[in-house]
Amino acid sequence: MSQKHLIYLLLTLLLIMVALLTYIAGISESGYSSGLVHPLVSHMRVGGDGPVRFDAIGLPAFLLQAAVLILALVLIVLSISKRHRDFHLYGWLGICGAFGLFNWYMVYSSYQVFLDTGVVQYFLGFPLPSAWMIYGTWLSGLSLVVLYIVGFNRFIYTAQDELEYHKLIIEFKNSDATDSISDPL
Amino acid sequence: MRRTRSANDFFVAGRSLGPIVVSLALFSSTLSGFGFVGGPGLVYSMGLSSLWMVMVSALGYAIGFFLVAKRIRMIAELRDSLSLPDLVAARYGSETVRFMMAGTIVLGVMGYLATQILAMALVLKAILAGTSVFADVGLVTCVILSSAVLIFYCVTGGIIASMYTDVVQGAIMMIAGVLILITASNVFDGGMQQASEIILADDSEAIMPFGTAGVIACLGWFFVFGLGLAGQPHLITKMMMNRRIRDFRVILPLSTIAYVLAALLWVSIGVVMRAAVVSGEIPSLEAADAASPVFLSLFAHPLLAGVVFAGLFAAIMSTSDAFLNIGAAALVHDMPKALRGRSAGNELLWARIATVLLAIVAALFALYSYYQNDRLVALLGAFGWATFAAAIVPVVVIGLNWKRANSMGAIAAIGISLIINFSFEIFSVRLPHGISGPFVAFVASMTLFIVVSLLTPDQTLDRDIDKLMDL
Repeated sequence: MSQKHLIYLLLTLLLIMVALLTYIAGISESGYSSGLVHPLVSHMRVGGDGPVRFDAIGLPAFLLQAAVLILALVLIVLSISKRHRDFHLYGWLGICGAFGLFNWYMVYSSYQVFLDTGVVQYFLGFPLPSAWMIYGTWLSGLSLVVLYIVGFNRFIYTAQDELEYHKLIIEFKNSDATDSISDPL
Repeated sequence: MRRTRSANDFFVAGRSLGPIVVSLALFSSTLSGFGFVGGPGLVYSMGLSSLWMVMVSALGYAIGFFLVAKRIRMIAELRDSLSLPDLVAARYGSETVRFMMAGTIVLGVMGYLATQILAMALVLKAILAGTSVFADVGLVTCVILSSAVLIFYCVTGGIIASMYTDVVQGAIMMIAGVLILITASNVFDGGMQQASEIILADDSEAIMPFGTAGVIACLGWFFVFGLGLAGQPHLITKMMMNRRIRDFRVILPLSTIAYVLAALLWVSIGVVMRAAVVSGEIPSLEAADAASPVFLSLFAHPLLAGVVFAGLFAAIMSTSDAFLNIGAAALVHDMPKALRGRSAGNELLWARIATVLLAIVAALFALYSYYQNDRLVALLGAFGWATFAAAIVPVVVIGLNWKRANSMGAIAAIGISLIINFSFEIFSVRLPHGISGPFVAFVASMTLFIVVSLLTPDQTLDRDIDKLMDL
């Protein structure tokens, strides 16, 4: 995929986000969408009625976060030199992206189940939806860290890149650099 | 250990540091006083909402390294860049972009530095309150004491002092994070699950993934703190300081793991303190930001409390040093360069003078914010972070990876991000469903950057930058 296509994809995702935010802003509020002051404890807030405040904005919020996660992947592809973008890169990024999106789906759907049923299951100290958010979000981010480590010599900074970079430094330092310095304001 | 002998040493440590030093410095600058004091305070106050700021860290680091680390380090070496504005001036060939970037950094530094100074003074006050002799020392005195220590440390050591203390401090923070989690898990007989159950019984939303602030506010934090990490000048400037580009392969995992361990403190203290208060085990706190100090004094072993307080001070000091450093660089190196074509003469001396002035102004700003607006330390910090994220991410993160981006796009992105962020703050604008100003500013600046770059004439890149962007 060329830089031009990636930028148009990025712009499309940003415009989708703008549209979703505008749509969400237009939905009438429950009165406590950002929580309320705790009735008994000072400096503390409560969330109030979860189903009421999540009902109207749940789906657009889900789509908004999905757009953000895809946008992060597109940015990463943009950062990889065109000559290193191959099937393996897209494959690995696809796996990381799918993991991130699956985790977000699990946060959203398990929370929706809690709102519908009121049943709470716990995992490592937290209710299941929160456990997905805490552990799952960390792990899905870590998958990209692993990709960076494993793919560093192949996608990010190859031996050929290193050679060309050192050549560039020698070339630039030996040439008259002043032609590239812009005029002051 | 290196000594500070030149402006190059003062600002970028002579680009000579090893991967462990850089990785620990990167993570400890990310967490700082905001994570130690503000973070647990936000969990106490809002439930799990604020965890979206911290859980996104692994993704944020990964994006930052993929998108900017290699290119920043390359340009820094190629052009002998000392600062982020130096780097954008080289990328866009524009002194207007350099000036706007430097101005943004100075404005953001003010908000962020004030946060650090305030956090340090609050913790100092909490410690002194426990003594018989200094129990009545006021916040103003604590701010003066904290600022004085900070100025001495920064002026004498520059960024090298910050980087090396970061190593010690980073190690302390990681160990403290794990020990605090163990301590917090033992406050209730049923561990963290019992704490969760107590909070759930009081208000179920507080312990659910979106907390009390609601889903849109959380997603806004995810976006601003995740993608915005790559736009924090005090972090990405550190990506110029390592000896070898290949070190990034080690720096990323080290920074991420260290951050995850240290962030356990943010999560565990906040949850346990909220549960302890709503269950009536302890009285309600005087302020949400007191969650950490009170937890340490009530539940932690005195030795662990001492270690955490020491780590906290070190964290705040080194983060403040990093901010003073980039702020001083903007004032004495970049603004003069943008306006008259060269930086201030005797840059090292002027950098030290600028450091003192910045610290004094930030201390006054901290006191004003504290007494005039009853706001959490963390929210002030978030404003600094948000300003940087919206203004810098498009220009640096996209700009270093897309040749068609031009100076008009950069000027538009920086301009719109400053206008939206400051307008929301000054006029107290509130959007429905917790849509935050920083979120809007960030999305708007990224969109505008691309649209303006596409609609305005293409710009010829310098030959070396053009070649470098192909690598």
